[in-house]
Amino acid sequence: MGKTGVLGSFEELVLVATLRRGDDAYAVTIRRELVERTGNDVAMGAVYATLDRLAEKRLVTSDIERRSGRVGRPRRYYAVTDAGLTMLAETKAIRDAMWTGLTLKPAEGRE
Amino acid sequence: MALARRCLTPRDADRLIEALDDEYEVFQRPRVGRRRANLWYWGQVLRSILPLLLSSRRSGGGLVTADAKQLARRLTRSPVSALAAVATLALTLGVGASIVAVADQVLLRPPPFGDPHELYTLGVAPEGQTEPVSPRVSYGTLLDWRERAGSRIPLEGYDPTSLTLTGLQDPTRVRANDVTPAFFSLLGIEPFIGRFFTPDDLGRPVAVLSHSFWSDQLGQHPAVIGSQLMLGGTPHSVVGVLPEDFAFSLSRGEVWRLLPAAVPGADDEGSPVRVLGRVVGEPPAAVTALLEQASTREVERARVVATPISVALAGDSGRTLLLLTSAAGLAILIAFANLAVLLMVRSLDRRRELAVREALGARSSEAARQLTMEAMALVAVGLALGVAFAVLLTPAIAGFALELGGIAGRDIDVSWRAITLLSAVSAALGIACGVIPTLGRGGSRIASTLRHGATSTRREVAVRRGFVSAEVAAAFVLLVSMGLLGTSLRSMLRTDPGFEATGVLKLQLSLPQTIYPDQASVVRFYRTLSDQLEARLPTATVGVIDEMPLSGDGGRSRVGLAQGDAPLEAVVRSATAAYFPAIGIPLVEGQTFDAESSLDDTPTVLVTPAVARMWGSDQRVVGQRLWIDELEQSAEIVGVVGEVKHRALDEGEIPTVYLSASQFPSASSIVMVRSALPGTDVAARVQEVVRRLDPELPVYSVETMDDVIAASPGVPARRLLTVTLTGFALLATTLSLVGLFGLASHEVARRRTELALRAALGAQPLRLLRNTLSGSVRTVAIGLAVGLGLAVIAIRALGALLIASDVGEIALLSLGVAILLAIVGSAAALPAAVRAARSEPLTVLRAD
Repeated sequence: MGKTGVLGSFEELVLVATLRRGDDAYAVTIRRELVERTGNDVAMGAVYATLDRLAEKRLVTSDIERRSGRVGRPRRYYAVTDAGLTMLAETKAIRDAMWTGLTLKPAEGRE
Repeated sequence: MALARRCLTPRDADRLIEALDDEYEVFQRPRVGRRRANLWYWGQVLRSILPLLLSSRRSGGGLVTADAKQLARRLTRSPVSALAAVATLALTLGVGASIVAVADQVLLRPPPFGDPHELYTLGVAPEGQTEPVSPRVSYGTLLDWRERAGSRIPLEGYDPTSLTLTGLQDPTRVRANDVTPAFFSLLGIEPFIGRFFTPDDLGRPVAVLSHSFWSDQLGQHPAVIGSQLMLGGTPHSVVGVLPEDFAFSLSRGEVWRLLPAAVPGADDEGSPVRVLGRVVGEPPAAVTALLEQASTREVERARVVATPISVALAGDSGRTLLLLTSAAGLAILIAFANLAVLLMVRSLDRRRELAVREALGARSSEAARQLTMEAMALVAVGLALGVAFAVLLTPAIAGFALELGGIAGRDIDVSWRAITLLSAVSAALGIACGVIPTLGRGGSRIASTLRHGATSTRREVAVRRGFVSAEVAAAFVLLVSMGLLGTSLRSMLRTDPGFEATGVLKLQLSLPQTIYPDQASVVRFYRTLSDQLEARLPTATVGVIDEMPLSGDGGRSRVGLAQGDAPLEAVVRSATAAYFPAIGIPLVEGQTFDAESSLDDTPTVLVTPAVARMWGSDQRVVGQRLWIDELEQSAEIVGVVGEVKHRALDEGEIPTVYLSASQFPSASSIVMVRSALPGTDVAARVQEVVRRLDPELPVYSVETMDDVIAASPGVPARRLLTVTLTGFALLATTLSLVGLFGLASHEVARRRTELALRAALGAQPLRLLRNTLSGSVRTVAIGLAVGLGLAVIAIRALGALLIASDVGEIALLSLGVAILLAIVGSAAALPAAVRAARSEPLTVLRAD
């Protein structure tokens, strides 16, 4: 159900951030990755909501892992699935195809 | 934090707060300092709520499907009670939708006239009466009123009649109205095609047709305007067709002509007319007071009564429909009370399951949501079936409504308005049914539920008992109303109408004046007809009268001992000698008319005992002379015959004078045939004989006199109400018994430990039985007490429909119903009580 064919831009960012974090990808670190790379203070709730949605689309899987020595609730770690990787690759290919041969110059003489 | 917890699901709130705390401690505070970290924290909370809310609502779809699956599982787990609840809802909502549709159409839809709230019917009533005795006044009175009212209050008249239509197919009778020229413009309508009447038309034979007549009889012929129709033996030129949605149900007519009395120089100011007026910008009372200044020609010192046209159109059916609507509303409430009880029982079964889920973190509103969904699912199915049922049922109820007061005239179908209204009511009641069972639970319920298992709290038992009491109350009201109505219907049908209806067929003939111009030809026709019919139908008796019993008490005249001494108002009829044996009116004294008497002989009359009483018991009435105002002469009384009911079975004695049809013939007459043959055979032979005598003459209104009685005023309404109330009363009784049974069973299950302990401590089984029964008896008693209060209101509402029901009779009936309900109610609780009495302490205590 839903529109699994299309990857939203924030979804794309969250997926990439998850990939980048590798084994240490849980909501807090994924958000931190996004903040550091984009420079925007991303809302934690938005990250959770997006991860839920991606899990629903089966683009990420999650696992609860207890690490020794840590107090509090066990963390939920995320990993990008094969479907998620394929989707990312497709999205990147489309993006690259769109950008090929295009350079951005500031428009001159125009308002 | 509190904000996040309030807005979000526990899961979302927990994980958000934990992650933010984590980030705050590990990352933000060390880097940006406490104050900015705090700001960051709250910014994060505020910005996170919306995405998470949206996300949880979106994934709510998943939750709903899960709920739906669970719902289907739960409903199929105990299908019988679910089916019973759905069937009850379907039945009551279906009947309710039909009744509401009819009531909506009849009572709430404005009639299809321009500014209908300004239209009034005007009639006269003798002083001291509010209902017009007769809506008819004389044309002369209308002229006087017009003169008095001036141009401010336009007044127009109409007069229902019927005409013989020839030249199309077989001769038929059509309903017609004769109207004054500006009648249609008073109603504020426009013709569909052609035009309406103008004063120039007066004196010319012109006609306006109803849309249905134009469609059914003329196939919507486009060239209808200007064409000729043979009506009553005279060619009439068609000038217009009425719009399709036009219905004048005060007097439905296919053909509309100009009132003959309105023709200048007609000199017919005594002819009857019914008056409509448009009253703008002043109270109707002022108008009636104004019109009262003009002398009415019928009755001395009469009051003028103005009735809003919507009230006049609804007629007697208004009250019947309101009663039906109330009864249906009550039944619907009972069905929903039943649903609420069912859901309470079901929620009880799942109490432990829900408690476990709640302990594991499910929200407490989940139980209410589940129950509400269950209620809504049952209500939706019930409503859908109910609407289907209503589609089938509505024409029947509308048919009854039509019989009640000649209302409608338009097709009545289940309207979207009725369906929407009932859907809204059902949805609200359904939600209430889902929520109410969860209201009674106290605070520390999870622990206690897990400890004690599925028992209900005191408050829950009270709520449930309240529902069952309400069902008992409704059952009581409906049973009492049904009983009273049924009794009055039976006593009404048992009333002697004054004639022997069985085996009598009635049919109507109307001789056109063009072919039967004088009285002699009319007398000759009916005499030949009677002779030939008696020859064709051996052992049959054939009589002729101008107006039959139970068709109205119009046609009155003052009668007395002499001119100027005519104190009595009597109904005057004109009948043949054979009419009395044909319909079975007994001859009390003297003899009937001499069949051979002629137009020129001294008039002879038959009178009823109410007229004969003028002479006192010691005097012989036969041979006396009776003065009749209307004839302006005296007639010799030759005999005394029994009274008959003229208008309705529940009317009192009305003095009646019968003239001889040989001396005062009526062109339009009713032929009564008493025969041992089946009605259809008789009708066929009559048709055959009439066709031989006059091929152009239609025979119409063929009915048995039994049917005439069944359709007489007051009977169909009482029958419809009795049937409906009986159905609802049985339903209410059954449901309250089921409720009492369930309540008692539950009570015993709840108290099984207590009962076992008591038994163990030596309580007598009989005492335990009595103890359990007393709870049910209390529930019934509360229901009866409430029901008694409601019954008083119901009886007042039924009012005039109840014939001769004195207080004693009502009290006796109520007592009977109360005792009946108490007995069957206790019987319903008996199985559980017996179980209680048989409590085996060891088994029960070991199981705990």
